[in-house]
Amino acid sequence: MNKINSLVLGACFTVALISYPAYSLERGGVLSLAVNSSVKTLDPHKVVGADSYHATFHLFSTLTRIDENLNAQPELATDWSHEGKAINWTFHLNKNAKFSNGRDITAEDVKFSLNRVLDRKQSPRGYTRVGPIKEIIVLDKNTVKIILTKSYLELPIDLGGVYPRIIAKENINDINTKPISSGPFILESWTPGGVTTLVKNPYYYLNGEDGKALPYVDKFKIVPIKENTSQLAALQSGAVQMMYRINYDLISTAKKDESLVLVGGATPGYQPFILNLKPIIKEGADKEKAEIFNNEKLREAISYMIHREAIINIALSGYGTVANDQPVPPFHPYFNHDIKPKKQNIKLAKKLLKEAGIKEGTHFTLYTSTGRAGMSESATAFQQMAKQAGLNIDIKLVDIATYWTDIDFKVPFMTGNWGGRATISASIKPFYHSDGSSNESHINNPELDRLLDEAEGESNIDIRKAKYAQAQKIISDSNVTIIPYFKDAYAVVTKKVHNAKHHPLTYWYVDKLWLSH
Amino acid sequence: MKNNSVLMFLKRMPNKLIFGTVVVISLLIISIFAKQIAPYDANMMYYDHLKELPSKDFWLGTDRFGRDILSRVIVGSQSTLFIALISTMIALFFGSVIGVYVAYYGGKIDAFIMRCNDVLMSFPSLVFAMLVIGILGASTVTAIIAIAVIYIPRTMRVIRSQALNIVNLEYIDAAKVSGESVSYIIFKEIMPNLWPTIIVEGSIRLGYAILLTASLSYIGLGPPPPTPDWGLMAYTERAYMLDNPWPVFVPCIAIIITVITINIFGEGLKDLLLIKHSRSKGL
Amino acid sequence: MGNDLLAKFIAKRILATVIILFVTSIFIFVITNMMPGDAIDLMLGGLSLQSVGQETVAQLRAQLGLDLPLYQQYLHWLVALLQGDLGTSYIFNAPIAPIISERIYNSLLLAVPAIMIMIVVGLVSGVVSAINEGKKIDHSISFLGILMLSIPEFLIGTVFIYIFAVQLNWIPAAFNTIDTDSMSVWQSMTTYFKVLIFPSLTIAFGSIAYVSRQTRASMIEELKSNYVRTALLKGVPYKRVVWVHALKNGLLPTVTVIAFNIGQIIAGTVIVEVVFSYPGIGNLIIMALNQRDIPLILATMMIISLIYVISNLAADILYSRLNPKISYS
Repeated sequence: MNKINSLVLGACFTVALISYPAYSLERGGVLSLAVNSSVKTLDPHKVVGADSYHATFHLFSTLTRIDENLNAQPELATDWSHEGKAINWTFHLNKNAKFSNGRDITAEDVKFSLNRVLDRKQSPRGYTRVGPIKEIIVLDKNTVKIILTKSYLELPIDLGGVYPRIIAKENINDINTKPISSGPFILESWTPGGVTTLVKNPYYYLNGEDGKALPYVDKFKIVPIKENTSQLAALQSGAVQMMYRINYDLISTAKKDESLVLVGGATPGYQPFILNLKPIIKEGADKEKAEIFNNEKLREAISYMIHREAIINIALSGYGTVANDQPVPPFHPYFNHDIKPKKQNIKLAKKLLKEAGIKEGTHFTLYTSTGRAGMSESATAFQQMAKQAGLNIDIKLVDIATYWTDIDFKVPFMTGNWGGRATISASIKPFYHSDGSSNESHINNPELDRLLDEAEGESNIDIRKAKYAQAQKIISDSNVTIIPYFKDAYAVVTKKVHNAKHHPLTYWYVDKLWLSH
Repeated sequence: MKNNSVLMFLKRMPNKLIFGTVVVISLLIISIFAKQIAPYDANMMYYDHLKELPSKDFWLGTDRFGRDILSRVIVGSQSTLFIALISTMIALFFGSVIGVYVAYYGGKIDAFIMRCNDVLMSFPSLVFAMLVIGILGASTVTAIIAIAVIYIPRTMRVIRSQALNIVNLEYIDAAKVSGESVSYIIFKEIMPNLWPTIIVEGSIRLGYAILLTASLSYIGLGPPPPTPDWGLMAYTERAYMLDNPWPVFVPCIAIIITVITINIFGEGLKDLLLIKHSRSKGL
Repeated sequence: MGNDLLAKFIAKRILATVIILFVTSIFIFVITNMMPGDAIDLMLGGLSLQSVGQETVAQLRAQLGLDLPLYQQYLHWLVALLQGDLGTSYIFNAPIAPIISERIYNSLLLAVPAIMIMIVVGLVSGVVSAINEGKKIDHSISFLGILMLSIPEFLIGTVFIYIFAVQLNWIPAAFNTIDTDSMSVWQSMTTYFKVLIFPSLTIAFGSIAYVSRQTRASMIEELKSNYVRTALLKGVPYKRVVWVHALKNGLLPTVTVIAFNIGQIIAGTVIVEVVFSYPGIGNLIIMALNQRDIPLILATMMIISLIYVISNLAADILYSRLNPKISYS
């Protein structure tokens, strides 16, 4: 079964667990969750941005569920196994599973849904996130076989992610208006741009601790409130019971309120400074200047300019972990402890700049966006640090649409924002493999490619770990992405909400929460 | 003798104008010599002093980057006043010229331009600014352009209606008959009579322009960080206002004081120029 | 003045309004298309073009009709609009009409009290100033007016939230959390009152001063007129003369200012809605702009322009009805 994953990842993330007095479980009630912006779509294969996840996570189930330790737990699949060096996988489905219209969920539905995710025209964001699937075969009504293109051990975790959710074939055309649920809730109402209300799905097939069907609460509301301050005020007044994400600046205020509980901790999310080796060179532009970050000494110099603790205090109000310029966080079992985060060293940075042939007072343009919190703050802080070393950084703030269109992958120097992924492979490969779907720095290192390709199918854990450690070393030394920190994430709930646990990917499984009345 | 006439002039000046002038001039002085007056470098970050309350070292406290708020408010006057002043001047220039031209020609051109005006004015100014800045990208220059574009139709409407009164006066007809060129009539005959209106309109617009500048910066569409700018200061620091309202309130108070004085100054100007003017003309 | 002339005048103005709206729609269409990025870029954000594939991008664009030349996109939109179809939102993949109608309803819930506050406070303070011309109270009102015009709306809103929602916990901080299902009529009324009062006040803030100033100016003139003096001599009580006789005549110029400000108020709800996280039309526009949802941008902007233009039209017509001296040319 999922032995390897459990072994490797078991209980490794530091989880801020909240100790509650021992209440006995209660059912019923309405749970309202305050989020920044409204649910945009109910089609689980087309969601963009975290706000829609809240609905699709609870309307549609997955084969597995990723728990707080990033292990795959059974959901629609009761168990699974693999053979042939993790190329052929078999999943057994829960025989009681039904859609909200009473129809059985079968292997055919799984095949249909996963194939839809694998079609990049149907799910342009999803198809990169479900593992190297070659073919899906229906063995019988409750058994499905998944054949991969290569050895890959983390498939069960990928199948518990955001996209590979199970939908009903007959529901395709009106999935946005009358979704047929496979998850714990069904849709009561959805106002585009407004509140989304979900109610208990009577056909849901997983049981709670009391032996009765999940979910515990009767109703789950997703309430968009744009300003974080207003969300907190709504929570304090009892109008909502949870807020998904509190601004770092407000955490100290929330802590003072006895009736609230902060649920959160470390995440693998980070905000890199991206030094692009292959930017788009506009006509008439200076090629040499655009590709200046191919200068290794310059990249190294920049990595020494950064005062990591100061940036954490400024951009995250202190709620973060110092990072060492590669994307695997220190609390991850694969983290390479030999790579120490660089300390700010202006003298060394100046020396490196000189060696790189960069004159004092040279101007660089750093692109950033207001679209993601913390990015422009970290850029502003960096600007002052670079100035000490004699570089002039001009910050250009753009809106998020411009950022994706004209900036990302295209400009030499920008700040990025990544939320962190469930598997080690998905945390590194898309961003640093030369074929990666999100290789924003355009790093192209054959040695790194080889390590990443080999490691994801390597079943010997020690060898695997060594390969990933080496990959981290290469990434960190390349300085193509200067990663100053990993972000913490905090949700806030009222004392009435029980069973709330911090999930490193900031997933919430609302069916497992219960309210005391 | 000379002293006496200055005194007489001052006596005739409305109190509002005297008060307004004094404060506006001191604001200008502060803004011009901001870098000399400010106790610290406005962009210097003191990492050990983040989000501090007012103290002996930092009179108005520090912001999230550990920068001195007093220095930033002082230096910030430059950015805000600069954007507001330049954009107002551009709006006044185009508004007056177009306004006078359409008033002079009248008829279809007038009707057409006024309808275009209605189109432009029907957009909420903030949304309009978002569009302009979305296309050109956020910067000091685009903020100026956006504000100027928003205020041109508004200025034009006021100037045009005032110009209409003058265009129909006899001496303009006389000038037309005697074959004076259009630009001569507009710039030598009409414009001089519009100066009071233009100046008063300008002072009113300036107040609004400062508010709009601040609002734009407040939603992140103004000059980029780390420019000390009042609206931007309020924007970047607003998230922890519940804990420490200083970094938000200080620049906001600066905005309010500036706009109030400019408005009082404008009212005074209006009393002096327009009301006196209209009385002497018997309008 | 003949009714014919008036009818002609109104017809002419309505025609002009239609033309304005048409030009507005072209203008908005062109300008939003000039903004960098489109809905597909946002959907694929963070993925490289190589990994998504050129033809996928092309197909996704084609699904939204973004592959057509601009003028065709515009014509499609216009034809649909003339058939009463506002189109489908890209981000919500849902028809726009119901989304917008709910938002407009919400915005009107804010704007109507704001307009009432503006009229009542503006008129009363204007009249009080006029009666006490040159006295302390007149000066204080005029100073208050300047003060109100000088405070940025975002600050007023933020201070209201800070004091009343966060510190005192008097008002629910967000409109979206109101659940009237479990409330009595009275409870839901008071809840709505509490939610709406502060944003409405914030919106009204800037406009009160205009109404007040205009009322003051025309009332001062009226109070000096002959019929007021006659009425007073005849023994009509002073209060009645002021509040009934003089105000009725003095209202005329004020009405135009009020009608003009109604358009401004509707247009001006944007920043207040942002500050109060209020789900009105203003917040919808901003979201649509950020997401490059062109059908939604067009629809929302057209609605706002429509309201603005109509309130101006109403002001014109009202003014011409009330003032016999105006010519209809």
